[in-house]
Amino acid sequence: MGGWIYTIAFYVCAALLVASALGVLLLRNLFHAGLSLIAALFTMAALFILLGAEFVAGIQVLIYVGAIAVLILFAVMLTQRIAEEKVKRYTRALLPGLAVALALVIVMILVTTGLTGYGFTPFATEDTVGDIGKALLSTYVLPLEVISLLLLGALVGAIVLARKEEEK
Amino acid sequence: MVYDWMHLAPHMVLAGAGIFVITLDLVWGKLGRALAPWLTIAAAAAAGALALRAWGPGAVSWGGALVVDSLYVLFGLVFSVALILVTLLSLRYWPLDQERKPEYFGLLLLVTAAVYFMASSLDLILIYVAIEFSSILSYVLAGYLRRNPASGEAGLKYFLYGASASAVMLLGFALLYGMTGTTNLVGISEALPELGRSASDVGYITLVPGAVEIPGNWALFLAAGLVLVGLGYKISAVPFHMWAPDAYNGAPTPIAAFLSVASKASGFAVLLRFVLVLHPNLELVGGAWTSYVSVLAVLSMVIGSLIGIVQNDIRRLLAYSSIAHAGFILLGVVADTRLGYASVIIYLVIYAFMNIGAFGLASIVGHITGGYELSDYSGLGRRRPILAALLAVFLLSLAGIPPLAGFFAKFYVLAAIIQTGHYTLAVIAILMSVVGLFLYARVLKAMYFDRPEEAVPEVRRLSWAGAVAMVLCFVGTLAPGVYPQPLVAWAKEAIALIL
Amino acid sequence: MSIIPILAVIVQFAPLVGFAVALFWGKRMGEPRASFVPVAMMGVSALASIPLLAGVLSGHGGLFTVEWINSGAISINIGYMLDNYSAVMTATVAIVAFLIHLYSIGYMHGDPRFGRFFAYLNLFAFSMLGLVTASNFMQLFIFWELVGLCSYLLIGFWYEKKSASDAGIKAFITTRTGDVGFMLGIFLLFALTGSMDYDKIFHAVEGGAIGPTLITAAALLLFCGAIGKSAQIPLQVWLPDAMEGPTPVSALIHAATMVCAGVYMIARVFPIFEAAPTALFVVAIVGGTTALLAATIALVQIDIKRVLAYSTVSQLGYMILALGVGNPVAAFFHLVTHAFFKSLLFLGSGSMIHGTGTQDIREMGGLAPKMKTTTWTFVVGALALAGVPPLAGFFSKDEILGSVSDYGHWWLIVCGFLTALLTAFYMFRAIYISYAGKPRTAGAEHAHESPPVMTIPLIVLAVFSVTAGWIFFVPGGFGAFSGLSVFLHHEHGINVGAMGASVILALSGIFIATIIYLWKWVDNEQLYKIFRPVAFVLERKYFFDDVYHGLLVPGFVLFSRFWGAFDLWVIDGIVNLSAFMTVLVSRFEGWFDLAIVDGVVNLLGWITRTFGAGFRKLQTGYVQEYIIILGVGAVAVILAALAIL
Repeated sequence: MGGWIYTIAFYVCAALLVASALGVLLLRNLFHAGLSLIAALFTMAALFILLGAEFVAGIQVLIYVGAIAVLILFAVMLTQRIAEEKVKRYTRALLPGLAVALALVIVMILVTTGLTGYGFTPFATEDTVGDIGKALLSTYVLPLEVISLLLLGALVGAIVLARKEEEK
Repeated sequence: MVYDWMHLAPHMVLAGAGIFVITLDLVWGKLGRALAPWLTIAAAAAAGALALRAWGPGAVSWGGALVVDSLYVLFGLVFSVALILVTLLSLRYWPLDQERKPEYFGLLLLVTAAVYFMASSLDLILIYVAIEFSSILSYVLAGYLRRNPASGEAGLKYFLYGASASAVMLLGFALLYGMTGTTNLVGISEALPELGRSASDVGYITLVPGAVEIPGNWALFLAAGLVLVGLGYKISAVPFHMWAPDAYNGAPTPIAAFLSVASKASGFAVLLRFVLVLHPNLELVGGAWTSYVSVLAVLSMVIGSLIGIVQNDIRRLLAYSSIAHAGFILLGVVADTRLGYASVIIYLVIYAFMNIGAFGLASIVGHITGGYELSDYSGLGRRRPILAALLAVFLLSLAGIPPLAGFFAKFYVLAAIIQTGHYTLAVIAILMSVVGLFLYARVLKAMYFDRPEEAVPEVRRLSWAGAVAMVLCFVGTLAPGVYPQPLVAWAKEAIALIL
Repeated sequence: MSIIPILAVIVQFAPLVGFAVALFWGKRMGEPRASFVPVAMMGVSALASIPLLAGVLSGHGGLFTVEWINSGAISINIGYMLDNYSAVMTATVAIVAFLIHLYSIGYMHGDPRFGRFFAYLNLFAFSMLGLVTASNFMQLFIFWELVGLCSYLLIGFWYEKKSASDAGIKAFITTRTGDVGFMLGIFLLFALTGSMDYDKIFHAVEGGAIGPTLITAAALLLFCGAIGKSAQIPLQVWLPDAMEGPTPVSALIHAATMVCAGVYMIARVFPIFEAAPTALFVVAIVGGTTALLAATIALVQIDIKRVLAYSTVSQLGYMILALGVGNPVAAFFHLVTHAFFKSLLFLGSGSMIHGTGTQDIREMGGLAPKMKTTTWTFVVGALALAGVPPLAGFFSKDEILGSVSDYGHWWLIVCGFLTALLTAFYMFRAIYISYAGKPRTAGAEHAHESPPVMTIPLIVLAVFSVTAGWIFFVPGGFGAFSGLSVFLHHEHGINVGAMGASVILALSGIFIATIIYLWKWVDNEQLYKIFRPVAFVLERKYFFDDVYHGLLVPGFVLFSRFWGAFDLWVIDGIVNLSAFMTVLVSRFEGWFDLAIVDGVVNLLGWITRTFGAGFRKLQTGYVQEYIIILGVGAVAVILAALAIL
């Protein structure tokens, strides 16, 4: 297969990703910003597919698009009048924020250019889902269990903080 | 692969007790509420006792993710002690009376389980998950007082800050994985020499082209810096300290005590784990990595001590003090010797008692008088001579006045950095410990020499549980000062078994 | 096991028992029962110190240590170094402390915190005895800080008085400033020799294991501790203020024992100083200058306790001077005799204050007939201090002045001899003003002699003040001061010239004071007018306090406020500035808005809000700034680490 198809696909996806991410930041209608977020998450999934990580791409769509982004949209729609509200685009921290982001980007570019020539060779695998599943239940079974505890704790915490006042 | 359940026993006891405490309340509310604190204390003690069995050289299990060794045992004991003391302090702390208590203790138990995981993990994934675990539950606990807007603000700020810091840290983890192809610290350590060699092939870090070139590995250098952001946030070292004063100020004060001790110690546990596991191969990469740490240490000592002086709220004052102490503890890491690492452990153990003591008294005085301003402390020496004397002991120990234990903590750290010839750092540290004296002297002056402008009413009674906690802290602050040998021996042994 | 270390343990720990009893049950027992156990325990200590001294002098002393911390790299022993130095000092401290405990029963009569006072005194005695007998720097430092803490507690004992609580804090902070150097010195020696034990460090120094620069640095750093503790220039400011404490405290801590700790420490570790002649020269200059300056300030003081306080600073300067010219034996000898006669003078002044209710000598006058015992003991103390033969001060001062003459530096000789003249003068000035003439106030009119519990210690101390110097004549007696240490074989010889000069100076000082204040040949007021500019400088104490209060303290506060401001305002300001820039940018954006949507109202509201946010205190919005600082910090730390590499 010609590498150029991948290259074109990558740049198209990357451009879409940047555009939709900017949309999330700059659109003044919350609902539109939410839609833009979904677009960003989708293009991110496409990038994962290009990298050969179909499983991660699937999870990305299922969880981020299917669950989280939709939840955000519901929240926007169910909150009265918030969808019509114009959101301000600038905060007092805009310029310092940009400066820091720029500095980080410069450092990252330095690193990625320095990364050539060493590191490990990415191993190709046919059965990503199977491998991930095996890893999760062997090498990473303990982190997996800890995550379940984390979720339980977070759930309890969320309920405790958000519950209604008890009548005494 | 080894799946040793015994290694997980302390973690499981804590997490199990946490879940049990929460469910017991659902099934049998009255009993649950009554039993929750005692189950918490029992679980903390049991976890500490079970952890003790792991004393010795490291035993690795669970796919290389979990390690139990002497280092973990000492940190585990600090966590258990902190949990017990904080539970006693929380028992009658009045703002909590309006909130649900079984969940409070359940979440405390889960946080403690999380920090136990932090001290015993050997895998980047587990480290990250454990850090998030402890952080997320800490946010909830910091914002636990729903009737107090300051508490909610503390929780939110802590959350936003923590989320950003851990995102940066995750980037560092990703870099490490990208360079070495493994998430296991041992594997990363073994891959480091490979990296070092190829780094010299690739070239030098060029700061100014042609002028300043440093042999080393850009990517590793960056990864270390990014990881340090996350850990710096956990241990509240400058410049990653901004969350601490606000969070300690708004959180329930016993939680502030817990965060300033257990959470900080857990950050140090991960830092020590990183450094000690990577140590044999770290130098091969080039570049003195300790200079990172020394920057954080100096900034923390200087800024923590100086800003602390102008604070008027005792919780903010103690927050800045705890930032300065993070700087002192980091000095032990800068020394990069066995004595240095041992001094970190010694410092943390002693710090746990004296700092919970100080925060505990802030909580008790806040409970009795309802205020946390320094003006609420004026005349405390006459109104409550014993409480004032205890607070004076804790503050003097924090200031490093011999023969209290705090002096020995500083002594070992200083001995370590002087042995390695870091004289400038030693001078800064000693100067800052004198500045720290001013910081604590303000409270002492208020307690003993100031007259209250108007009578400070006592709105609530002193609880016996708080008193017991303070007596325990007092013993813990005095004993290592009088006879430091056992603590020193344990810390040395724990390090000698690893390094 | 030899009996000597057991005796030492009894001597040191008996007061600790008294401390515990008085602390926990003092309030319940009330007056005077609360004082029984502490005083008895101090008596036990004083009694046990005598056989201890005898035992050590007869050659049974030595180093008695047990291992305390042993962890490979660091091993610290604790124990007693019992040689002639420490044994003599122990006995002096224990006996003086016992007499002052006894005296306090009378002096503290009626104080609401009677028991607490004895608890602190006992804690102090325990710590001071520990300091004296320490066998290593670690132990020395711990007790060094403990005596400092006790001093702080006791100066501020009457904390209802603002001046007292301020003086307590001033003492603590000032001496801690000196301790920074002291701590660094200890750590430097530790880094160089790997040990805290005196004997090991001496051994390393003797063996030439440390280079001359480093040993000089170490000696000077240690000297910083002595400057703070023994109130030498430029840290002398705390001692006169410390007189706000109860008088027995001034006598015990700020005259006889604690303030001498600096002198004792240098004498104790003299081998280190001996190896650093440059450091010794600095020591001599500081000591001599302090002696002279403090004596001149004492000339114009009108508070009897402040006269004695400056006298103490001056005499401590003498001791430091003696150390500097290389005669630690003389310094130590003077330390011991000074402990007796200065505590006598302080207790005498306490008796005067007790009798008249004032500290101002101008408000006294004519006390001699009413307070006979106080008067004659006070005069004995003053004569001893002035160095009139055959009293104690004569021998020790002569020893110092002899060494100074031998050393031969012109400034030191001027300081030494001029101070001798001034000392005699200011003491007798105070005596004539307060005891002679007619009573000048009602308080002085109705003065009464103090109870026996106060006068008996005065008499005992007066006896010591007369006789303590006679050890000079006991064959080999002087050797008792020369210590176990092999470095200190001081060949003793009498410097007749110095002796004669010092006696003549002392007598002329007394004579001049007599002319002016007793016979009144010269009008005091006229004299004051002539010397007014000088007197002004002296009354302002050479402006030390003014400089410290005017410059250093506000400077420091400003400095820390600056850092606080940096966190709050500067960063805030930077952010505000950028917010302002954002507003500028948004103005262009605003025109765009105007054409399309709402228009000017929106824009104005927005600008107001943005500026309002700028004025708001640190609130929720700021968490973004925290995170920006986190990012800046991350980048900065990486860059800073690169710069350090």
